[in-house]
Amino acid sequence: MSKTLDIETIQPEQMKKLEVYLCPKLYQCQQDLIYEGQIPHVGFLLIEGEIIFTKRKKIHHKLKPGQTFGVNELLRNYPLKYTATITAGSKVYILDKSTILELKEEERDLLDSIRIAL
Amino acid sequence: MSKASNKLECENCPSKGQGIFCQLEGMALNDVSDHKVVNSYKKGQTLFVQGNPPYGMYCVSTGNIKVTQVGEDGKESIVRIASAGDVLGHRSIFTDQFYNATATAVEDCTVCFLDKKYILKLVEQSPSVACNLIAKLGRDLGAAEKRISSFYQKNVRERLAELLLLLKESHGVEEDGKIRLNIKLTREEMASIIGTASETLIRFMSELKQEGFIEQKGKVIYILDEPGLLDFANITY
Repeated sequence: MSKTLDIETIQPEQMKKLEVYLCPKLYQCQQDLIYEGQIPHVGFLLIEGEIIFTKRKKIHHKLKPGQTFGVNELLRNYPLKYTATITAGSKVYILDKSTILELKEEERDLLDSIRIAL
Repeated sequence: MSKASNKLECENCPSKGQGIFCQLEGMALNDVSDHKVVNSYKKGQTLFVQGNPPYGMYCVSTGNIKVTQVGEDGKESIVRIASAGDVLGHRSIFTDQFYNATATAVEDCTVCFLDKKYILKLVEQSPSVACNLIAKLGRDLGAAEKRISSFYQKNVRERLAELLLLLKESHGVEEDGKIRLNIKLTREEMASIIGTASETLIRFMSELKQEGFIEQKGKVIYILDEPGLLDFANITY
């Protein structure tokens, strides 16, 4: 059965800070962002829409707006346990490694919030 | 969280010497190795999808990846095949447009990824990377122009012979006096590349076999008579 995790989300004031570094990106088509066992190329902060995590074709959980995934795995070079699929029409902030390293230098607290927002 | 994966260093890449970063040395190459993300893709898995936003560049270490475009009629056509040493997604980095094609692994592949900001920094700092990227864009443009003129000036027979010769250049391996094409494409995929129906492709493949230009063992194609194919394709070079 699928579930929506509700542990922590990025707060509006933190979103404002992120806008200095990032532009929202729209996914026009559904896409598997990363496959089970792969290291994420970038981290994602979901603004609108849905990211679905599956394992062996079964839905495990869904990400809701304000939540992130991939940042910790990217920084530690760890593979993801699930396949992450973004639905068409979803909007995200893409947190690439270069931006994450910039945030590490300039906005440590903000990066810490991103790292736990799942 | 599972274990950190072993990283493929650029220094030990099976396609070393063929990529756009290969002229970097020492610290600069190590920095690329540290920054990149290396992943394996299974046959049929996609790297990126037409219409979605780009966020970096992919460098193929091993395997073959097909780049396809879907037209307004919903028909899919293969634009090119990227193989070891090739890069993907490089054009979208500079144009800021959405991906205009989809990249899918045609066999198990190893692919490295570098984010857009890092690539742009590298282009500013390393003239060899900038020059190699420009050269790559130039070659892509040349290939696209050649493909367009082929569609207008050559018939299906000639285009098929031309495709086999192109695959020989990119994937040909000498074996017992003939050339084995080290890539397994389905008939549908080959037909899509030359812009014809699978049935037509099958008919002309049989013709080429009967003429003794090629032979086929299972899905593997061998070129037996390259000059004959060149003549057949109406190519003079």
